[in-house]
Amino acid sequence: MKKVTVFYNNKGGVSKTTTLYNVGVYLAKELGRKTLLVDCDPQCNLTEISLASMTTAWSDVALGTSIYKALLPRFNGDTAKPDVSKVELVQSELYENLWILPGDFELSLAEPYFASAVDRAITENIHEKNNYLALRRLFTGLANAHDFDHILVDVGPSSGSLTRMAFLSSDQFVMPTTPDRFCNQAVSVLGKLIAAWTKRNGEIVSTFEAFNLEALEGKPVFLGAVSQNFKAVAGRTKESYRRWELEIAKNIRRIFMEQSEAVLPIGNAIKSGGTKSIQPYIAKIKDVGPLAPTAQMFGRAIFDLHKQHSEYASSTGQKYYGAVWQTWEDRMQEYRKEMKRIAGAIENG
Amino acid sequence: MADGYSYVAFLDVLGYRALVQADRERGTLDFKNKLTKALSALDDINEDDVRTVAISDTIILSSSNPKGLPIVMDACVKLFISFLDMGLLLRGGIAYSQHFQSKAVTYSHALTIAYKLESEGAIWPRILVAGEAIEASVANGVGIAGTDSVTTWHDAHLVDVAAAGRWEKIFSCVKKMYKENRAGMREEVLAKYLLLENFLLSHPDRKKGARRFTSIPVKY
Repeated sequence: MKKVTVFYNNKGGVSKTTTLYNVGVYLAKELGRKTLLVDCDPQCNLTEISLASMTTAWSDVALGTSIYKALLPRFNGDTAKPDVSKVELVQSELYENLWILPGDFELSLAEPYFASAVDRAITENIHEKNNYLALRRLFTGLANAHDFDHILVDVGPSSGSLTRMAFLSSDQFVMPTTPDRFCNQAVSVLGKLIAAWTKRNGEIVSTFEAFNLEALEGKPVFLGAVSQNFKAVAGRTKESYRRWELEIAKNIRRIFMEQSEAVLPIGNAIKSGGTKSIQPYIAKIKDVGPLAPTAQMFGRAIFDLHKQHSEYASSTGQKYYGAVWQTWEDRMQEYRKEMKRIAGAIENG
Repeated sequence: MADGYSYVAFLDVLGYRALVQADRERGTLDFKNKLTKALSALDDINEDDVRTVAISDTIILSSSNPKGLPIVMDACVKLFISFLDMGLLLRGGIAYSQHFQSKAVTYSHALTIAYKLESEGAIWPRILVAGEAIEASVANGVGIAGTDSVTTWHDAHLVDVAAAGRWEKIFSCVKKMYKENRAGMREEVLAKYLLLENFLLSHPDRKKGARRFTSIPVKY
């Protein structure tokens, strides 16, 4: 498979990182897929959660090679491509098939390199062309060297050059959303942004063949949106959230599926009938309440908490039993189902 | 080969206007005959390998072969020597970019870059090669750096016209030209000879015992 999937929305706080981590665990643990998580966000939240189970804080001992250190020799012009043989990945202590290419607080320093590449890779400057291809080469190089089935890429809520290159270097794209006005506003901007990125990418890569460089397709398949953190009553989404969900769905269809300029290939999970009938959501995740912060304490997936972990959510320090624990189990089960849906969309392209 | 990309050399015949003017004043075609003879050096070059256009003081060589940089550089060396034999000096630049040439029109990013190299960088008779052209050649499987074809002088890449046993011939031709033209030589022309002489005397193939032939006059 060797698919590179980016979770992206330029709006912050839509659970990009949490969802990505949980999908990663699902692919690794439940489906047995060798999965690499790549932290392309200088905030390093994905690294923090992925390595939370380690006995030593990752930021104190610099576990593995950070993504910035992996790219630096390329930026410096020492190598044409990132040398993946020198990149040390970190294996999760909790989930055997899960690996991490850690983030770096200094990754923001990569921004000017990518900005320059976006600006100048269309010229005859091979250094800039190689920088433009650096992330894609890093992803595919690591996938081939370690035989990963999936690479999941987390990016920050920005529209800068680093995020742009991570997006264009991916094969697939999942859009986490929250049902509110601000997210709807962000989705509108995202359509224009992606249209501009893909158009410029086409212009840039048209110059690559003359330099014997591989093309960067730069049109990740839109696998669908994920609606999350909404409140529900008696199993049904509260009306106010539902209305925003519908509004965002309409916007996504209009921007990502109906406008020829912004069209990305559409994933199999949401493809059925004509574009008008397409339902853009591949998963709908209810607010999971205390499960999320509890899972964060142990670096576990939200659907993979055990009874003893509930001690840390309880004001008395006692484990939950009976009906209270049953509520947790039900929520975990629901959450797992949604992770299964997203993982399925990722697997089926 | 990607559509429209070529290695393009832009070469300029130094002193062209003055030489044409001299012909006009004398009522001769000496310079025209010299140009024709010098350009005949390209007669045995396959047009499929290198396309040539000569207009006024400009010679444009181009190759759309992605491995064609050494062929263009070789053609430049042939022309440089052939022009020297006629007592003429060339300078120029080589670049790699998009280049469209038909009978009616020449539209070329490469030519613009090569011209910029020539006009801004080739301050003495030398043929500069854009670093991007060398890198493009490497990317297309033909390494140039470290070969006899190119040398680096003061951070610039230039076609090494004096390599491969050509040093002695070039040195003697340049020396002869200098001596013939020394009387009344303008300062900017003298500067070109001085720099070319410096290059030749610092060349690894220089003949043992070769000595400086220029001199700076005490007074003009």
